[in-house]
Amino acid sequence: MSGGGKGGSQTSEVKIPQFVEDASKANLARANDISQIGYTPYFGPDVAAFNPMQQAAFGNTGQAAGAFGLQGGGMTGMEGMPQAQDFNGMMGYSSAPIYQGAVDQLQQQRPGQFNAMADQFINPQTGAAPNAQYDNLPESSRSSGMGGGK
Amino acid sequence: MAGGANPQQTQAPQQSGVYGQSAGAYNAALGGTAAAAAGPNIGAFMNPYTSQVTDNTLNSLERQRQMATNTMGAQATQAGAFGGSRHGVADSLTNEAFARQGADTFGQLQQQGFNTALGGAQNQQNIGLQAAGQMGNLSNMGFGFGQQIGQQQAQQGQQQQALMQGLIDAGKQQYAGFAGAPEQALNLPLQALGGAQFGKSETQTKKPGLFDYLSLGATAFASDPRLKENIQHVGDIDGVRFYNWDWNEEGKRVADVSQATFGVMADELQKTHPQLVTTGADGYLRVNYAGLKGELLGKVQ
Repeated sequence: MSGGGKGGSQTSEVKIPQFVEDASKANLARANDISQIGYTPYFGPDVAAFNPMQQAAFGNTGQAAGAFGLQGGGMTGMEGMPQAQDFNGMMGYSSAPIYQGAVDQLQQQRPGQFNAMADQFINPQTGAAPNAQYDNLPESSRSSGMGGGK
Repeated sequence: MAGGANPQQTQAPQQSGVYGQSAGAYNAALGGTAAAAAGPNIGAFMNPYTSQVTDNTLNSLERQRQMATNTMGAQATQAGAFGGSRHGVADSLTNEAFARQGADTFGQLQQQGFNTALGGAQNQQNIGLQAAGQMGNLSNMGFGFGQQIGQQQAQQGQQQQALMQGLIDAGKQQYAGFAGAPEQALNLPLQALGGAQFGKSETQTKKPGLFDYLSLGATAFASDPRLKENIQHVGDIDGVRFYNWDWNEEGKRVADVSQATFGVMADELQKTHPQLVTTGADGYLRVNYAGLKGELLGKVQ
């Protein structure tokens, strides 16, 4: 049955001011650029290292064990611990090497997945545009900023 | 017998410092206690009496015996009986008496020496026990000092480390602020747009359906074919024919402006549902669409 069928139909059209539309498009383009930045790892320290006072306490415990003939006698307490790094005078440990190692392993063992993820984002060294392109992206949402967008 | 150190103790390196001294005192206390527990060392206190006092006393008795024998020999010579049987008997009796005296004296000296040695050994044992106890206490004290200082060091170190960790966390937060700045900056225009009070116009277009007409209410609506033009048949429901149309000039004057241009022809409906059709004061036919809805509802749902 024509004429809108049994229940009929209703359409609504909302018109927003032009300046709002322009701002929205600009923001969409900016969001597109930002979405291509990708993950920015943190290379600074995560955990503070043991300080000399703590190491002295560890050493004293080792001396006590040694004096009484116990296991661990003479140990400094730092055996088996990784060497702390100097971050501008702040001695600490960073998770960055662990993170980088895991990413490298992923790239080596599952390059397909790694590339699928990495292609979503700009080249972190050069800032070149992502390898993955989306042709259905509205032209209005694309910008040429950041050296990565189209 | 002194108690020997156990294997762990002998393996323990000699160390300086409070723990080394404490361990040394501990070992000394252990050895002293073991030595005391082994009993008094009487032999160490007996030897001087046996070798010196007893020998001297017995030598003195021997000299007295010889002097007595010489005296009896001289008396027997004067009496012209030296070497006789009486002289021999007297000599034997003298020797026997000195031998018995010597044995008694030796026994007494041995007993006295033993008692003296026992006292000395017990005294030495007590001194050793006291010293071992004192060493044990000193060991405890030294170990306690070391423990207390070590705990304070660990506590101070933890405070320092917590301070450094706080700085690191603050640095990480700063970095997160930098890394998140683009996204944060993106939110600002969104917030501005969301909060802006700008005017907007809304246009709504409605294309009514059958139920829109059938739900108009109990009021009868003009549906006389003489008021319509461009009439098009669109379908039937239970034998009732439905149309689209445009109002002609007379229709625009008679019909309500809100009335839809969809429905039935009043003259047709009058033939099948005469109760739903009335004639207005103006002479035009009108249809009770609410009544028609009631008639058709069960058939169209």
